[in-house]
Amino acid sequence: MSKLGQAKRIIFLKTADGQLFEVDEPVAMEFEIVKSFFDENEDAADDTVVPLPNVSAEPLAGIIEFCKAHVEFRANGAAGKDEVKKFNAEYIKEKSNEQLKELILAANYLNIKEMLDFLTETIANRLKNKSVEYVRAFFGIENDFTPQEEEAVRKEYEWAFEGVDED
Amino acid sequence: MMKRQVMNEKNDRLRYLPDSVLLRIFSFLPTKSFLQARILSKRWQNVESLHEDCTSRIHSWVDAALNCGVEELDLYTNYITISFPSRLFDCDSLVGLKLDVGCFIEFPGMFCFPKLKRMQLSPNLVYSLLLPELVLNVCSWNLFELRRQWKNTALGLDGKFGNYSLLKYVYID
Repeated sequence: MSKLGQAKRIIFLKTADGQLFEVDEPVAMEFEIVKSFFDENEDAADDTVVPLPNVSAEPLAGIIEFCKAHVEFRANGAAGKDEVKKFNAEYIKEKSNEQLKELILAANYLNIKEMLDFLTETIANRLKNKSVEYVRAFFGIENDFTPQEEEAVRKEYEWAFEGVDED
Repeated sequence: MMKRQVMNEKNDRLRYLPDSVLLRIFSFLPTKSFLQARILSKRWQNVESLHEDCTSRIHSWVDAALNCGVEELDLYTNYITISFPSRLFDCDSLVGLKLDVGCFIEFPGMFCFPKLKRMQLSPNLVYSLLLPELVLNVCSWNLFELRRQWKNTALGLDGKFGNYSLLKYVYID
């Protein structure tokens, strides 16, 4: 059975900032939200544009790059091998914390399991040995303890607050 | 000024990450950082209570192993707090128990592994366990291994091992 002649399907995605992306079907189907869109709308026309109101173009481009590479790794039987680790390390090397945050928000919204696994571990690595203030700022967590309450909790876990890195 | 505002908006948006994603991130961090998470804010103070889902999975897994009369149980998990089904603690088939888990384990006040010979506990496992109680029933053990961070907790050990003639190796890193 030849698959020749079977046109590769392209999925159209439109970001919050109005950019249109053309994505190969297997890559777009990595996004659970896109997959369920087509599962629920079986007779959607081939040129249907899926709106992604919570994702802007920059993180989406990064996500497509990641998913495309990983779809290929799987197709080549390379999943879990050094090649993948090398790609992941390169991929994340140049990303700033701000870019990482945008990526995880987008990956969470699009519901991409493999990428979420990867991003959660990457962010954890960047938070290792950081102060509580740093972690709060990273996640935008508001400190709702009174100074006395905070002091009490700090005392309880005193040993955990020794030797953190300078931010 | 503008820039600062934009940054703040971005951080605010991170609050929309569900607990499960935030917990995932923290579960990769060493014990210390996880404990620090408790003073991030009041919501995080009881951070491990958000873990009920994984606890129930571990329960059913351990239960299944016990039903098969398991002799060696090695448990590795990134999760921070776990509890075990109470029948684990008087399980009469268990010979070796190796726990490499997060930092909190809920042990019952008294326990007795009738056939246990080897107990190995991971570096992270601290705090929730009072060592003197743990040592209470080790009369049939011949290997008891503690790693790293235990040294603070383990100070109460002096003299505690004197009565356990079968205990051949006590390894404290």
